[in-house]
Amino acid sequence: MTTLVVFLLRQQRARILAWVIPLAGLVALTAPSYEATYPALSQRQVLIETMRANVATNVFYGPIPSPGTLGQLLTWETGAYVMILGCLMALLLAIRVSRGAEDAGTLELVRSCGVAPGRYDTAVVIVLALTSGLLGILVGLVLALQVGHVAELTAAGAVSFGAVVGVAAFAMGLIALICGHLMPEAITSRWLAMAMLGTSFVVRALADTGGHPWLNWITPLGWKTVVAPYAGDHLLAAAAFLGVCAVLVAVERFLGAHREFGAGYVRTRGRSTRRVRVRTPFGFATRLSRAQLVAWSVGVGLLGALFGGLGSGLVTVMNNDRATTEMMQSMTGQASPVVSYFTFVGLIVGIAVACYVVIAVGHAARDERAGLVALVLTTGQRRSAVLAATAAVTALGSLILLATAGLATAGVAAFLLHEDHADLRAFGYILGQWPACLALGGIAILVVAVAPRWHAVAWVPLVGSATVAMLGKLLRVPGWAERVAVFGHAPDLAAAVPTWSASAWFTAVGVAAVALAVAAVGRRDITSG
Amino acid sequence: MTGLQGGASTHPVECRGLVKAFGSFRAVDGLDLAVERGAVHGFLGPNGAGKTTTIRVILGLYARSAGDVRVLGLDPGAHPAEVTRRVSYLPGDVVLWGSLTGQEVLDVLARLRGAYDEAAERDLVERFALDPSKRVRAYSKGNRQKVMLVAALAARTELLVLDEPTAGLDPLMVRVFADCVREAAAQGRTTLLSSHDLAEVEQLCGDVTIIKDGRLIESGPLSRMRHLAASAVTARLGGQTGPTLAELSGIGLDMAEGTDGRIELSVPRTRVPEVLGILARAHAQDITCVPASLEDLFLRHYEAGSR
Repeated sequence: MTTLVVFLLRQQRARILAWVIPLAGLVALTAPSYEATYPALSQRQVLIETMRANVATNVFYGPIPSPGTLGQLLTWETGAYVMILGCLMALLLAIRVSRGAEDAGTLELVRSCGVAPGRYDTAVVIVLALTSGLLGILVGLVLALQVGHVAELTAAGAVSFGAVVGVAAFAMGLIALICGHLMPEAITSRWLAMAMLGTSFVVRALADTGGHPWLNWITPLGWKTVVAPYAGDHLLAAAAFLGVCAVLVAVERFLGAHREFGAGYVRTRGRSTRRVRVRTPFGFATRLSRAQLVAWSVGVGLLGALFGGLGSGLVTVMNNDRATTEMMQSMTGQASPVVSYFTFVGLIVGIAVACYVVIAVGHAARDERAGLVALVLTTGQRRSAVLAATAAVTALGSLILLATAGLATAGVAAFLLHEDHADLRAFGYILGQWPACLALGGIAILVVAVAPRWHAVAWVPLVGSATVAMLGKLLRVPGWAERVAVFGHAPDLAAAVPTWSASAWFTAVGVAAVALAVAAVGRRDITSG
Repeated sequence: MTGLQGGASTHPVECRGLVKAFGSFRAVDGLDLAVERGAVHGFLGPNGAGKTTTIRVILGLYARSAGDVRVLGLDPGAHPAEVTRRVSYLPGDVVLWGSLTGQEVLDVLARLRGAYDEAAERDLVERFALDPSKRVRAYSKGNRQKVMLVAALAARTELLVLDEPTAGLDPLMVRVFADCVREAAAQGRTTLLSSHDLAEVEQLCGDVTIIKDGRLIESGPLSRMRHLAASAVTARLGGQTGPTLAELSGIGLDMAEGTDGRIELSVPRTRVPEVLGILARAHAQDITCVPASLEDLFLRHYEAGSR
């Protein structure tokens, strides 16, 4: 058993550390940044009141705990990211070592070495527990070390935050393992698990904005609110959630024991007599990305509808309280609730769609290393044409996704909100993220054209820009970084004179990068293995 | 650089002094290769000899480091698409799009090329007993191989470049494959067939190029190379061994004697019947006769070189 666990951890260690260390680092930076900006609780009151009244933050982070100590702010804002990303890490890891290994054939090798079926599954659960535990312990440790150095932080808060992060990630990983038993292959398992994570987010948002706080008990992403680090530290609740994990383990083991190797409880259609009528690399790239694009469209469409629905309701409530709204706007210099809310929604959707772009281009790099690009090239296609097809399909795909999300958000907003050009703004802020996606997509294409092995580098500008957009104020990034970060520049279509210069620049960067990539790709050998 | 122009019409594939280096490692080092039009040309070498690298240069997937290459009269480095449109390629390690069915893969590859023979495709699917309605993810290695063989053979191309084409095929399908290659040759198509299996190459190929460590070992008609190859014959002689041993050494063979009458002989192919006759008359037991392996061929080559 130890051998299997060590074997799996050795295989995945780089990936695990690439998730865990930045997350712990982010947590480490947060409290000192808050303290530097707002050393005393009294100085924070305006900010906290603003946040409490801010629709976007309520939907995305949940309600801000009272009275707003540094620890509470930290677990509320940075904590929301750590919860989502920690769960995502556990989910991807779980699918990779379970169904992924099964699909790739490596599990067959392990099984044929005399490893009983249940033993490997147990090892996977242990690896998940260790990884989630590592994340929780690192996060808790980072905060515990700051006790005494940063005022208002407590050891109990550090322990309960670390505990809830670890237990939520573990639970999500177990849910992913269950998805892996249900579906017949890794890809569909991953999609189902992502849908479960999305559902967890929606349930949490409903719990925090719809007046049903009990809903937080049934979604791992809501457990943070229940445990309430730095605001009650209900470690008993964390222990209860560990009990939920035990139940999940039992379910997982039961499903695993009654499933045949390589099969799933849900079966896919085995045969098909469909034909493909594509004649160009562009047509083929479209055909290959179709399923992925449909799934993403459903995802971002639902995300948009959710944001549109929740936000519109809250904006209306806030607008009814005119006095507070006006006071808040005059004090913070913030724009109208509609503008600030839908700008934020645009950011979230834009970042999600940019992830699609980088993932889609990454698939092109993966296909080349697998030898699939060589198959296309040896039918008499040009390297430049194949790469240009990937670029075009990705660019159009991101436009379709943004338009879907924009229409969904604007549609719901138009139904619920009749002021301040809410629908037009909602659509504009979301579609206005297209130049950002083009720039990031262009850079990703350029990376793949030059060095497919390094395609992960394409995540750097995306993660950097997303961090600046979401946490820039908190981390007090310099002005140049805000200008370079691609997400914060969507034009306001309802403004008298919308500003298009940033959009034009980003589009130009994307187009130039693709042009450079198309010219460069034929100059290197094809990559294999 | 103009050295190859003249021969282009007779040689669909011609490399001269081909070098492909990755950093300081020379995967292919000064290779000469000439494939006659309409020939089935065996490209032999052990694993890691540089066969696949050479093929990738021929297809324009790799840029050569030095030397000249002409494929169907064109430089594949400068005109990869023009070359590969007229070439069918079967990669050594067949990976296909897991979400497509076998038929969809055939459709895509055929339509991207723009020239294929649908009737030939149907015929080949039947001959290889391929079920094209299944998704690639559900295929075994052999079935993926069959998909690519059908695609390669059904395409309207002049040159077939097949990298280890029979890997994963069962013996029945290997025979079907051999028939298909012979038919292709009868239609005037040229085949470059890479393999590390001498027996397979012997069945199909008239000409052979043998490489090792990226360098040319031997090239030419297989019939002229047979002198290099020898079969290993072993037997156990009972009773009176003296006269038999004398008879065998009389025809000038390399011979090793073991204990209890065990002997090992290295016999040129042409003399195998004669030697077996002698052994049979001497009532030898446990007679084995193993045709020369590729490894033996290399050893012979090096021995011939050092003499």
